[in-house]
Amino acid sequence: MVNLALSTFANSPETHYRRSAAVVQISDRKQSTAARNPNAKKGASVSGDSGLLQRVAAGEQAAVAACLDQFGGLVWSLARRLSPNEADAEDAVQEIFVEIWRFADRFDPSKASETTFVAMLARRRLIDRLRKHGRQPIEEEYEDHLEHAPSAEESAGLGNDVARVAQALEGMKPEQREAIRMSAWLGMSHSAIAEEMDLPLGTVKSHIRRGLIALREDLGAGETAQYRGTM
Amino acid sequence: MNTDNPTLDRLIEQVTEDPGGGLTGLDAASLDALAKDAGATSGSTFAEELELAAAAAMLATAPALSNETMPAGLRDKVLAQAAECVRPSASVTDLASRRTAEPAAAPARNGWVGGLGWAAAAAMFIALIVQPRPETVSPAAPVPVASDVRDALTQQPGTITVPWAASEFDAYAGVTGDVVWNNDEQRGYLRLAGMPANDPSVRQYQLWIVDPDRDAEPVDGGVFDVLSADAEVLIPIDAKLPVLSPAAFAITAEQPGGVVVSEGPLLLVAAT
Repeated sequence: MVNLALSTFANSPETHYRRSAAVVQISDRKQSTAARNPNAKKGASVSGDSGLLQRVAAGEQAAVAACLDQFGGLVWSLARRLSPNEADAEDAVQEIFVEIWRFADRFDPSKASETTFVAMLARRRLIDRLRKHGRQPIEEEYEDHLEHAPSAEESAGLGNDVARVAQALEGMKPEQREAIRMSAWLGMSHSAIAEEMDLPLGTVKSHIRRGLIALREDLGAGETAQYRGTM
Repeated sequence: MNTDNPTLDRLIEQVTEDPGGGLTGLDAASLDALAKDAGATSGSTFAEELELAAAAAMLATAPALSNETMPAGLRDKVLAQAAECVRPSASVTDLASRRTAEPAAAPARNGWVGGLGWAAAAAMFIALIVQPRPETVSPAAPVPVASDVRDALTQQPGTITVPWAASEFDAYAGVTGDVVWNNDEQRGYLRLAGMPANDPSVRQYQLWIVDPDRDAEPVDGGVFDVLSADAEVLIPIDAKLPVLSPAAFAITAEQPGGVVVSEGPLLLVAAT
């Protein structure tokens, strides 16, 4: 196993993102992940949600520990991969959970699973920390990334809404899929993605804009929206 | 749908590049129109739905995430923090009675803060309460149990600790605590004891960082809620922009989600 936390960041704009060729291979491999998930069906209920956030919002102390058990590993994993060192990751985790406690009452089960809601708060905080500290994420070598790609079981374990999004990503062009991945997972700016993928900035923006709007619909929001196919 | 919609472009940039920054620089009317087209109930709802989509995409494309265990020591710290943050919800009548005792922030907007500028407004606030009012400072405030995170920050070089000045508003006159801020780290915490609870669906507290070296307008320090006036709360500062030299920290009460430009009033101020 490679310790990602120790080599995830650089202090200069010099980055080490993979080029598009490798991206395609990763994406192709990931296609099989959600495709094998039988629950990846739009409209299916989100598995694993137990009203934990609602209980936290109600001030139930027992739910706090349960929430930590449920999401602690996920938040810690995200923080480790998007923080320069363990100490920074620990600070980030504490800030993220403060946000979870504060915003638990805003969780809407009709929009996403608890896992996705928690991931949204974590992503928000982690990208914010990256931005403030002026750091740019760099990615591990391609092979390492493949080694850490989620298994079908792990992908399904993150909830049906995540599986649906994974499946939707499969249907996108590899170039668009990679632009979204760099933006959503690595928190890269659009201009950095354009530079890395050697694409015009407008193309990258278009990929991300169309992709996110489509994923929003796959998540269950905006069922009546008319964006798809018109943008 | 116009594919070159600048509001949509800006919104997507905000959601992907700076999701914690709030909906700054976006025209509210254009955003609401965009949300309506997208089948969302409001601009902020539309933004959150896009952010949820980005989060789901993150989970779908990130390396395996669910097979790690949080260190035990960290878990203990998070639990300790939770004890400060998670409180049983106050009753509706309790919240309502508190609200009536507080200054009517939203309806009473008269623009005086915007007209004078934030630095001047903060200075005026300080001048108004130059005479200490010890009788309004709650002597029964429990000894605070600050979190390890805040404590660690206070030990770092360059960290400043600034107490809240006594508020001119009766509902906030008994609030005690301080602001801890480290400019190098760009991190800090608010400590508030005796702060009136707010109903997040009606309004939220918002922190502002007065930084004249940077701009005449204050830096948005993030919105937060206080669920119980009985508890001391510790709020991480969420500065939306790098802070150069904070002259004061101020709290207002705003619409849910906060505002880009506040019209006050300044409920609490801590001046450096």
